[in-house]
Amino acid sequence: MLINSFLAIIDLHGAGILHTNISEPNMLVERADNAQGILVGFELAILEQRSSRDDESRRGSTAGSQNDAAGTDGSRESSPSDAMYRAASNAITPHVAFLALDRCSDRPPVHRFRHELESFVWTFFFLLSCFRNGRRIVNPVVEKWYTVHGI
Amino acid sequence: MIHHEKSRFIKAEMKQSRYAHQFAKSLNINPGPLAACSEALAKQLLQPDNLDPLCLLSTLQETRNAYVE
Repeated sequence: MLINSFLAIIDLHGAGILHTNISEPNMLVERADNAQGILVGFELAILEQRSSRDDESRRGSTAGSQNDAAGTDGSRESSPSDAMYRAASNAITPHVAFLALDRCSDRPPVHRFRHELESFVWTFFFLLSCFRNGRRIVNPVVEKWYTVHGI
Repeated sequence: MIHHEKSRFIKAEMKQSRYAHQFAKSLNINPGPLAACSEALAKQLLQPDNLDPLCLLSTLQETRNAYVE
């Protein structure tokens, strides 16, 4: 069932959209025999800012670009639009328990597709740890993810 | 720090798949495929910068197929 949500994340990336809030509350499962996973909660979704390198690879070129000053991890801002994108991606803190680890810092990097993947895996482990036979349980180990933060 | 807590969780889950076993047991299903999936995802998460969507998808699909068959 989680595969549907994972495929949705990939499809969104293909369409240039980042959900930015991949988390347990936003991954629903239908109550049906052939239950499907549903990704919801797009309030924080942003348009993905692709680096020049991404664009080059999409065009099938192996040549790098001199304009790729921001790098694929967005660690450096190279233009006003980069700064605006960074501000948008950090505007609201999503569920901290599911955040990619390098986003749990005082100066988090710009949100990228790989952060979505990491959040998905944290959500997977949260589900394994905090649900038994469809019911939410309290797991003291995982509860620390909510209370012990580095922001 | 959340980094420390999550790292500790991942390393433990890689070794034992404790929560995968408990989760599968509560649903009365074979814990083997889910435990293998948990170990594989934990291993991939150790290097989050190198997370590969195709590897993740492959892991998830293998697990699903193991339960469908």
